[in-house]
Amino acid sequence: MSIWRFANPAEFMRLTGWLVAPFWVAAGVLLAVGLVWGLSVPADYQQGTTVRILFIHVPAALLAINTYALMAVMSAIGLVRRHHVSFLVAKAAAPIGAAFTLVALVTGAVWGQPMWGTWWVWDARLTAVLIMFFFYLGYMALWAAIDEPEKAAELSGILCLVGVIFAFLARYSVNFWATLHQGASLTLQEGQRVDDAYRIPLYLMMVACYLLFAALLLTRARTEIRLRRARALRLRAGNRAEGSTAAAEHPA
Amino acid sequence: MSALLSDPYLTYVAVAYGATVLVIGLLIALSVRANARSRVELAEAEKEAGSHER
Repeated sequence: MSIWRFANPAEFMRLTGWLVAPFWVAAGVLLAVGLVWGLSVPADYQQGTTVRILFIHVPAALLAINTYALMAVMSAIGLVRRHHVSFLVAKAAAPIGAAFTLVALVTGAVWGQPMWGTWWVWDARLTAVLIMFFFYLGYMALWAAIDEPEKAAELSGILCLVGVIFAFLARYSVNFWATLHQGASLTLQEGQRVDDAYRIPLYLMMVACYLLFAALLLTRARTEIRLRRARALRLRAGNRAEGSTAAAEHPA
Repeated sequence: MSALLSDPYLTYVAVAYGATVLVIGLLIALSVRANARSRVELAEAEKEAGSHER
């Protein structure tokens, strides 16, 4: 089965139709378990109970960056292969990514105040995430500002690709510069650096947030496809009505 | 309970979780509402297209 089958809106609706409900149920269950578990972990010897904020901050930050990467890939596919479903998936992902970026920024600031002694620093990673958040807002604003969907999709897609550098910097800036924000705590290369008491609920919350992302993305993408179909039907009906009026006014 | 209330970081944790529930809850509510509206809109458009064909 070719992946390009999903580029056909009818196929996309058919193939994703049965996935939406299981994703919502799985996300709901795992989020409930993860939140209760995350709120009941023992206090860290340095961070105290603020360590509990990381169970939402880390998955949100991860999704903020990965959603932008997904949007960039979808926009590139849309621009190169002219599949409008790709553009619609990118459009559907933007508010989700923006919401997770906002959560990452807010929870990071709330954690930073007691731990770093400040709500905000112009650190490379924090600044890149903030600029990425503005790119999310700009992307959604551009889609909303242009009436012609094809043109809106192309221009928003180009804007998305321009902003991908900030998603890259948000992810890797801690490797390039020694800044206040710490590097990755969960790495495969350097062995385990987080105790199981925190690591397991953190992984659980990551999986729960990815499932929530998938449920939201599929729901929103299906919404966009329906709205596009409704618009196409209305335009076709309008053209047909105009054609029949013209034929009545100027009979052959 | 008294240990929980005497936690110096309680406010920070509560604000972080509260803000997250608010933002993600709003996103879910808006997405579900838009999804329901799109179904209605498509049904209406199909009905209109059908009446024009007749």
